[in-house]
Amino acid sequence: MTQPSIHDTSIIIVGAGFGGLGMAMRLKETGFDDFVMLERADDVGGAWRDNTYPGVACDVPSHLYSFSYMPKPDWSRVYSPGGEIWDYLRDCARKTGLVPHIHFNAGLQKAEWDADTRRWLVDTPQGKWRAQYLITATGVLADPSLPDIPGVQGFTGQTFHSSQWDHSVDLAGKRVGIVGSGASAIQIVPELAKTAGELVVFQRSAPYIVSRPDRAYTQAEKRSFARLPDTMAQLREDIFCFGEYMFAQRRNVPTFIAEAKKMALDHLADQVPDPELRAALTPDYAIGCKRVLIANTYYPAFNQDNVTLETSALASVEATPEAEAAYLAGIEARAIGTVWMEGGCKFWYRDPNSDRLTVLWPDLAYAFRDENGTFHPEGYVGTAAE
Amino acid sequence: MKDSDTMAPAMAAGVVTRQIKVNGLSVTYHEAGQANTAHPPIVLVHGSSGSTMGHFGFLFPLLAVRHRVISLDMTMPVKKGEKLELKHLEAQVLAVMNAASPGQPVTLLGFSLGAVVAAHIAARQPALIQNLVLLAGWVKTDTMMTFFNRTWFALRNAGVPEINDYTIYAAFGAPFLADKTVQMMTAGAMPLDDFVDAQMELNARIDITDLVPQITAPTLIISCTHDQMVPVHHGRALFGMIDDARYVEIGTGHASVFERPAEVTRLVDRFAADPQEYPAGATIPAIKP
Repeated sequence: MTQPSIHDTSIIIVGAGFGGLGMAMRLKETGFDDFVMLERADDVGGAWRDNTYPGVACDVPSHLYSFSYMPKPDWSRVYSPGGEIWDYLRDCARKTGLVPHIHFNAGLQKAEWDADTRRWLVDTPQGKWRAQYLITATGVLADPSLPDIPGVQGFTGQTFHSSQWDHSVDLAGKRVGIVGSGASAIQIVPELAKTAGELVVFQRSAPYIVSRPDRAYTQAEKRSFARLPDTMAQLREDIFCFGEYMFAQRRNVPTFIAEAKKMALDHLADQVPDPELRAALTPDYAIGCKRVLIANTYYPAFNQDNVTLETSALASVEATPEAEAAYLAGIEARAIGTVWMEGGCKFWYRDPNSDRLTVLWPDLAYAFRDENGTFHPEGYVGTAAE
Repeated sequence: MKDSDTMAPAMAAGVVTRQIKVNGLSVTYHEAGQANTAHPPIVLVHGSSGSTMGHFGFLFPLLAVRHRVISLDMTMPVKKGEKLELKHLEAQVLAVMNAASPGQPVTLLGFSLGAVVAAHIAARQPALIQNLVLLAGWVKTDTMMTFFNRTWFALRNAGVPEINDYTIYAAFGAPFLADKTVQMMTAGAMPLDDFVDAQMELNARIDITDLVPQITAPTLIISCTHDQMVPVHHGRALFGMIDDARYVEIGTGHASVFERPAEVTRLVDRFAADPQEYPAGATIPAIKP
């Protein structure tokens, strides 16, 4: 093995998920070839490679959740399953000739800006790269964040995070605890509810959920899209514009907030007849404070005898040591396989005592915080172009 | 689905509602948004059977994010049976402009019949209109519009509820209706009253062919590709007649303010902030998400 050399290139793209592939495809399209992609895993696809849990799918219709210049006429559903999205991304990389540009198992360890040479220096397990431009396409929710529950290390059952699903574990007939009730949980719960012996969902705060206008595309529709590609573009535009309509909610316009809340609560009332269960699934905060989810099968899962919603236990973990102990005793008593999930991400850091931008990969960090717990948004990677 | 009932109280936080007398009749208008020295306030003029809440439930609060916005609810200015004329509606718009923005020219936006009123004002009172937006407007009622209008009155005079179906059929674009159910679309009925009748009667005999070429204000013309009430050739006619005009087509039916209100808002927001972003004669490219 010779001394590792530094590879020079013009552009380094970090990550081969949707963002990185999109960036690279556009570069290729202009005829630009002097770039590399650094991917920490052994395949492209980012979140759609990593998240293989039962029921994984996207909350954005497929004809919009895809590259406008790489339309796919044969999406199977309005909201296609995650595996199909992953296949799509692999196809995109292959068809546009990106694969030779990608260095796999080359997770970014450090990136430093050298002000003298005006170049980025990047370290990976596969070697060092140097470039004028560093484009990060690392995603913000790509990494698991495990809740810090005292005593969980002592849990003797199997435990894994939803983004690192252990498919070797057969959950059929088992007692399974799911911690969390967010975007992943609402997809997993209905799937596990089909076969689990007992499923307990630990809910800290209930999400607002609206109906999911999902359906399979017919063969005729898919062929029509293939024969008339403009109709795909038209559909994409319609989906996009409907999303834009939702902006009035984001701007907190009272009527649109009321409209959204009514849609969500009507959906809950339609799907959960039991008033006590419905109350437990009713959010106690204004709509929009957390991501509004879309699902048709999550609420009905709780109508099944083998599915239990646990709202008090997890809430009291944070309240008293006694309650924590009771909670942990409860989860240990109940669960054989346990799935952890919670939003998580990695951030960049600008050292205030240096003129360098440094990449940090803190474990389990939701955001970059100082020792006082204060979030420093100025450390965000938006400054990396400097 | 997005009928005037559910859309109704879409008022921005901090909205102020006032009333003024115009020729002895009370006219309501609403104001929202911070006054902005960089660009003039936007005045919204609704179309037939509309109101601020009915037609601008989305535009009014969203435009108010970056502009001062004034919007009126027009009042029946004539007695039942008397002929409504553009000058009657013009008087109410001018009175509101004078009350809410005295001495300061405005960006005037009209939708449908409101666009005809706005064009009428811009041609006759150029000093008051700094910029003009004509959304689904027209110059002269033609044969297709006449057939719609005659059938509408036949249903109206027969007193049948299907007038609502017929209006929905004509007002919304085919792509928008394609994935909606009849139940969704008929959740609320279009308002019907003497004023709506008077406006529909006026719609049948619009002809501002002589006035439109006199418009000098920078103008944004928005036509709706799938509009069956005011098909795109009317917007293209306006584009040909107004010197300082730029043109854009959006993928909606006539009911653009319901189908794609965010796209309309984006176009108006940008034009009001920088009317010359696109030069006279330019066609603004369609979005390509």
